[in-house]
Amino acid sequence: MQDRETKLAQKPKVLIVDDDNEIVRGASIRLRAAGYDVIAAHDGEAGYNAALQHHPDAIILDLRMPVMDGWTMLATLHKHEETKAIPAVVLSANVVDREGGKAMDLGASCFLEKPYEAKRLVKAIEFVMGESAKKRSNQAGSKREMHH
Amino acid sequence: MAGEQCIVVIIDDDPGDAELLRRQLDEIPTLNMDFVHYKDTSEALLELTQRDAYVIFLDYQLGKVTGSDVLGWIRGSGDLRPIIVLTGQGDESIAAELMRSGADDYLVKDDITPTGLRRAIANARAQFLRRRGEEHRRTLLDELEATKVSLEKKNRRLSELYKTAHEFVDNVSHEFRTPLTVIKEFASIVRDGLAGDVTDEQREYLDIVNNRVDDLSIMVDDMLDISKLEAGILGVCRRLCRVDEIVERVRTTLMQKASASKISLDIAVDDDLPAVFCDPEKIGRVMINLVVNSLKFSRESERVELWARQNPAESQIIIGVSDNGPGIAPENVRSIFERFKQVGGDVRSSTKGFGLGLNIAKELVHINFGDIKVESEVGKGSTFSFTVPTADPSAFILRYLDRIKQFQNSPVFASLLTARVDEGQPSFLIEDVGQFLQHEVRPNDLVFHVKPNAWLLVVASNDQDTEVVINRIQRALTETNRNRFDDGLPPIAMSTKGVWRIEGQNTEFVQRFKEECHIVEICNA
Repeated sequence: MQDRETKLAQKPKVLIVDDDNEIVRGASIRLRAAGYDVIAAHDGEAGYNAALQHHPDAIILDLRMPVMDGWTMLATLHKHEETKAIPAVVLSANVVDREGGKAMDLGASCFLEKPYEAKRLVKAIEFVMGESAKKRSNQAGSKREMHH
Repeated sequence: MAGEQCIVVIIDDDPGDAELLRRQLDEIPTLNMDFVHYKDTSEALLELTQRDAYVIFLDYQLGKVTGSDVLGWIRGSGDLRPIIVLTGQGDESIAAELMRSGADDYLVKDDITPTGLRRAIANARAQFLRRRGEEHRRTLLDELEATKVSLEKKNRRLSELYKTAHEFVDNVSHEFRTPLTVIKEFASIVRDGLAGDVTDEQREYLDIVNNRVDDLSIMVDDMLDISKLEAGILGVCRRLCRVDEIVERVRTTLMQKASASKISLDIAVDDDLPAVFCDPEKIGRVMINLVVNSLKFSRESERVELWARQNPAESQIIIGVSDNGPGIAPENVRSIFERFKQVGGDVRSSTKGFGLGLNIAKELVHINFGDIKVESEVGKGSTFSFTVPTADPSAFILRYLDRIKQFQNSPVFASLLTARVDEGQPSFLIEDVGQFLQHEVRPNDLVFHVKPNAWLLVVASNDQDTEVVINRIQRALTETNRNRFDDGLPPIAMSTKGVWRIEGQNTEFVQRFKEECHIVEICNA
C-alpha cells in the first residue's frame, strides 16, 4: 500500500539491480514499506544507465549478472563523476573467498549475503545513506587535498 | 668366450667358400663354435629369426641378390645381431655402402687371416653390444617418456576434475541461495503483514518456514566449508579472544534454534576463563554444529547444555555440549566424526542433514590445534567436547610443533619473521594489516599481534629461504592496495629473525619464540 500523503519526490530513491525478478520484487516490497522509492534494473549495464538517469540515493546490486556483472558495474559507477558518490550495497549469493571483499575494494559500502534478513537490508540502506551524507558534509566543510 | 658354445651362421651360395671359412674359424682357439650354413638366402632369412647367432657371415655375391639387399632385410626386421660381410677381391669400394646398410665389418675373402678374422668378430660383437645397449636405453627412454606423458595427462585431468568439483560446489551454493532468498523474503513479507493481515497461527507457521530456510542455508555453508577444507584454502584468522565473547556471538542463533525445537538450552561458561588463541568465528561454528547436532537428537522439552571449563594443566579450555538424547552405541562412536555418517535411527527424518556437521566440527577444532571427542551412553545421552588452546605462547608453540610433526608432509624448517608498520596508524588499518597477514600465510602458519604496530609470524615449510614468503607477502600487498582506493594498507617492513630445523625439543627455536612473542589484545568492539 502506497503512502499517498508523502510526496514521491521527497522519498529517498533506491535502485535495485538483480537479474532475478522475484528478488527485485521482494526487496522492492520491503523497501517501499520502509518508505523508499524503488527503481529496478536487471543487469549491470541497465543498472548503470538507470543510475545515470535517475540519480538514486543508494544502489543495491547483485554480483553475478548477465551483460555486465556487478564488479564491473561497481567499477564503472566509481569511474564516473555523476555516479561515484552513490553508496552501493552488494547483495549476493557469492560467498566464496573474498568475492565480497573484492566488491568492497571496488567501492561498495556494504556487503549482504543472500539469503538476507529483511531487517538487515533496510538497516544497510539506512547505514550507507547516513555514511554518504556524512561524507558529503565533511567534504563540503574541508577542502580535500589530492595526493595523486 | 672359451668353452661357451657359440653358433656361427654362414650365408654363402658357394659351399666351398663356406667350408673354407669354417676351417679358418676353427683355427681360432678361444672360440668353441657350431656352424650353420645356408646356401639359400630365402631359407636363411626365414630361419634366422628363430636361431641363436653369435655372429653372422654374409657373402656379398649371392646370385640374384647382393649382401646389401640381405643386410637391408635383416636390419629392417629389427635384428641387431653382428654381421660380417665377405667380399671378393676388388669389391672394397662397396665397403662404405655395406657399413651404411648395417654391416659391422667386412673381410676380403682371399685375404682372410686368423688375426683379421678374430679382430672382425671382436669388432662386430662390440658393435652389436653397443647397438643393443643403445636400443635398450632408447626403449627405456621411450617408456619413460610415455609414462611421463601419461602421468602429465592424468595430472591435468585430475586438476581439471578438482577445479570442476570446486566450481560445481560454488555454483550449487550460489544456485541454492537464490531461491532460498526468494522463499525467505516472501515468507517474511507475508509474516510481517505487508500483504495483508495475518493471524498468530499463520505467523507461527511462517516462522517455521523461515527457520527451515536458515537450516538449509547452513547446509549449503557446510558444503562450501568441506570443499574449502579439502582444498586447504579455508582461511584461518587466529587471535587472542575470550570464550564468553565467542559464546555471545552465537547465543542468539543457538537460542532461536533451541526454541524452534522446543528444547531448553542452558549456557554455562565458567567465570575467569583464561584467554584463548583461536579463530573465534570457526570455534563459534563448532559450538553451533555441536548444539544443532544435540538438538536434532533430543526430544521436545529435553535439555541441552553448552558449557566451558578450564583445564589449566594442559593449557587449554574444554568446551562441551551435553544432551539427554538416545546416546550413541559404542560401535558407532568411532565413526561419528566421519563425513556423511549419521548413526542411529532415532534422528527425526525431517531433521536429517548431510551428515557433515560433526565432520566439519572436527576439522575446525583441528585447524585451531585442539581435539574433539564424544562420551556417550545409550539411553542416557551424549557429551561432545573439544579443546581450545589458551593464549599462553610457550604452551601454544609446543602444541603447534607437536601438531605439525604429525602432518603428512611434515615441514622441516620453522622460521620466525616479523612484520612492522609505522607507528600511529589508525586502529582499523592495524586490524586490516593483521587480517591481511593472516590471509597471506598458509592455514598452518601462525601470526601473533605482538606490538601495536608489529606482528610475529611462524612459518613452517620445507624451504629455508624466507625471502620467498616475504616476497609473496609484498606482492600480495601491492595487489591488495591496487583495489583499495582511499585507504591503502601502509608499507609492511618484514625481516627474518631466524630459521630452525624442526627436530627434538626445538629448544633454541622455542626460546627465541618466547622472547619475541608477547601477544597484545586487539580491542574488540
